[in-house]
Amino acid sequence: MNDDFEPDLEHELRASRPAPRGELLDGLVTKIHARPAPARRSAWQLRIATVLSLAALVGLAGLGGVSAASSAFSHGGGHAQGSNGKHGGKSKPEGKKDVGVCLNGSTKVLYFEKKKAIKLVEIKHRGVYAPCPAP
Amino acid sequence: MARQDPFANPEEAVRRVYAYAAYRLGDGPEAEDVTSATIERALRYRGSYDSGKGDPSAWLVGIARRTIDEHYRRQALAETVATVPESAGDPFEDRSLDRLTLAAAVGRLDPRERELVALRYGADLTARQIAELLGQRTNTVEVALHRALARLRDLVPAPAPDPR
Repeated sequence: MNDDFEPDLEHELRASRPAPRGELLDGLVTKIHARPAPARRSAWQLRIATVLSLAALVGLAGLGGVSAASSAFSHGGGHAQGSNGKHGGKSKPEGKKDVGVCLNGSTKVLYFEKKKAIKLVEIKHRGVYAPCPAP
Repeated sequence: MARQDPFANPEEAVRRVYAYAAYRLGDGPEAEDVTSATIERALRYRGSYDSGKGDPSAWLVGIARRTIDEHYRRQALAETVATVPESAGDPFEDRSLDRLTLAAAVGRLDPRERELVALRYGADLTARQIAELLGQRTNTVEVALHRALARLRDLVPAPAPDPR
């Protein structure tokens, strides 16, 4: 045993750590600098991006329902139901269902392509889908 | 996922990887090859480094370990034996002799002990980092390191007595 061996072995191991040749070191450091780190996003940026994406999806989905209703509202006339109903002279578009709706005292005919759309509008306007009552 | 560039200090990264490889394989061309291959691979996977899972040095050394395993599979390990030349007593030369003697002693450790010495004193990892890398308990690593140092003390010759 070499208990009296000086200096301390651990210190010596660190101090005597093998070192790379200058040429190798310079070459590898240059290579590292030549390839910059990829762009990184912080966790916050990722969360905000996710929230905005979801909001956009929800908004688009909502717009889809609203646009179906608004395009239906823009159609008038056809099959008026009720004596006060205003109706345009247009005929019922093919493949669409018509529903008489009392709006502001006058009956309007709305056309929907799908039953689902009718249901959505019913929910929105609380199921008031009927021609205006006779005076 | 927390991100941090593992090459924030490129020079230190290269030095640690080389020191680790050299303690394991000997100071020379093999350690240089392993260091170059490690850095190249680390650059390729740089974007996947997650600082939440460990220190950059530990990540780099993990790659170096796998590179060395592949190196061992490709060729047989040559035992490194350094002969100690006579010295006239120049302090600087004595320092070089100390390095050779110590390197030779490290080369004579068994692979397991040599790896521990390389991780601790070459790559400068803590016992805890080494334990995480090797999938062991910190206490186990500390005990094994202590034994490796005791073995090294037996292998390193005592300095010649001062003739004066």
